[in-house]
Amino acid sequence: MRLPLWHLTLASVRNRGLATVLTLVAIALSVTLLLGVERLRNDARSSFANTLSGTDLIVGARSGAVQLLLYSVFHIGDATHDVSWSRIDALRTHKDVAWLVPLSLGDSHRGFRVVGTTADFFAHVQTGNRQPLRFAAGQAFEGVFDAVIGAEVAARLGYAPGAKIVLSHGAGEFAAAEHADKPFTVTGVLARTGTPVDRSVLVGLAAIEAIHLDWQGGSRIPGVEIPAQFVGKFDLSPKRVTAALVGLERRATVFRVQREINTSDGEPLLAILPGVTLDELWRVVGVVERVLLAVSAFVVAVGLAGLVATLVSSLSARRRELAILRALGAGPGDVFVLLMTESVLLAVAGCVLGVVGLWALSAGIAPWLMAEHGVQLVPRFVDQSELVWLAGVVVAALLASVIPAWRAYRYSLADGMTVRL
Amino acid sequence: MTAQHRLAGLCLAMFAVAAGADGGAHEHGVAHLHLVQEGTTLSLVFESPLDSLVGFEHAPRDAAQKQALHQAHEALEDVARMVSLPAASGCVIGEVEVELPFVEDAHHDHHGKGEHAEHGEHTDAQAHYTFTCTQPSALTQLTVGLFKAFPRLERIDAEAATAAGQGKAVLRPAQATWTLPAPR
Repeated sequence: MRLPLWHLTLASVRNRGLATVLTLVAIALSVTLLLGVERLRNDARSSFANTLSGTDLIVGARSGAVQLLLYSVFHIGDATHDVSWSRIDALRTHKDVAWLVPLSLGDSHRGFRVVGTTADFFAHVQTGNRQPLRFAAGQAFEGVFDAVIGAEVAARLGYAPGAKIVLSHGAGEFAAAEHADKPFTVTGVLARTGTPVDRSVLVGLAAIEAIHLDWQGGSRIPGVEIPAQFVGKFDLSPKRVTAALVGLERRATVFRVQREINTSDGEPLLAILPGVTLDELWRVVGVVERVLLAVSAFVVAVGLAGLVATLVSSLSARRRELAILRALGAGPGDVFVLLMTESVLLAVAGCVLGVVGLWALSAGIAPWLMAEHGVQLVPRFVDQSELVWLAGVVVAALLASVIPAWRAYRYSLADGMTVRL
Repeated sequence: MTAQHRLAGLCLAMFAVAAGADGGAHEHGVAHLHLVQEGTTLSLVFESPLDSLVGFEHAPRDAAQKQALHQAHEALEDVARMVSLPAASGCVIGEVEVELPFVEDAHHDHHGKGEHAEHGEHTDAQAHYTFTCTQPSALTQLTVGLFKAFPRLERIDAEAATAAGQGKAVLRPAQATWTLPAPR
């Protein structure tokens, strides 16, 4: 009768508890890292791609295309220049332009960016697969000192329509830069989108002009204070904006309009296709991603090397065990299979543990990633591409364990029966 | 917040790399391809420095150069050889318009489009192709034969705007198939 090998494997593994558990943990952690890097990469890409849809062009001051995309849509980095309102307003009447949403950045509220725009923002900005913005409560701003807030702002700061908020100049590091004399009233809260809109405070362009009436060059003009109720007496039409989102009448004209804007005389403007620029960004970031992936693949290799090392070093301690097996009738081939089964079992268990670990980890950090970076981790155990990676790990373990298995085979041939106790 | 700024810094350092990709630059060996799909209409605009197609950028000086220009013109007009689209998309070529400098145009209807007239003696070649597709949603990819026809061509910066979204790819002789934006 053949020996039930898997039963012996289990018993043998149990006999060397601690070393086995540690090897298992190493493999599990390396698998978590490998799959985590891959998953974060994929989910970050789809989150970025879902941030804006339905916008044909983004227009801003002439700088880098990626820079313009990052500061106008993703609120990463700052604009080096802004654009005069007359240029943007002229674009609005361009025959191929269907709609135009101006964006004026530069202020903040408790760490959240303030976006000066028009009510068209709510009508034309779309996320995901052409999903329009929805109000979870209240409505768009109407008066000068009205504000609409994103879902994350509302959730984190506990605001509802009717709340009074104070905007700050710049990123809001200094209390002295607060526009405390001109408080805003929250009129609406947007439904969650999973995009930077959730972390924005939206106000009218006139509001941006109004809070800076008594400001000049980034600081308050000494001795000048214009109370909120008098701002209506001033010209609140916008002078400069940071960028504009543009929708065209016909998509077919997009490259022509882009070229027209980019080669126009006067104030230098840059028009980009957001989806094209995002692909340019991924091409650049792709290098870093491949390095990360290579590093995590090496970590898996280190984990497997640990597995082999544990098995090899256990062999001398197991000569007795192997000798008894031989005495009971196990052939050298059985010893080989026993060792292989053992390491593959460990690798598979490591993969399973790694996947569970990844699931727990991603469930743990998903809310933080969403709130801080707008990256949506889709909770899942494994998808198809990840299964391929896992299969790769198991195959690598299989190949690596030939070394200890072969040594055990040699032992059992040469001295298995005559080991000195 | 700080992590975001670090990411921003990283990206800003990189924008210089990507910034050059904006169309219009005249770089030998590098051509541009713009694809727009709207409804059942698919239009392609191929723009390349003349040098990358025929190996010179001046009026032809001998019979060989004249011949090269003529051949380039013929090749660009041979749409089936230049681009292939998935059969399932049911695309049928409509209009073909090839603008090659220094070519005495026998086909009367070309040229005089105005847009590039102000460049004077421009040395960029252009080809416009317009297709009508019965199944535009089946436009998942496009393969160009341009590299085979023009061995001096090293790279095509391809940009697309379709109903599924916008996208960009860099095509090379070894990778002449372009995966178009997929609907999300």
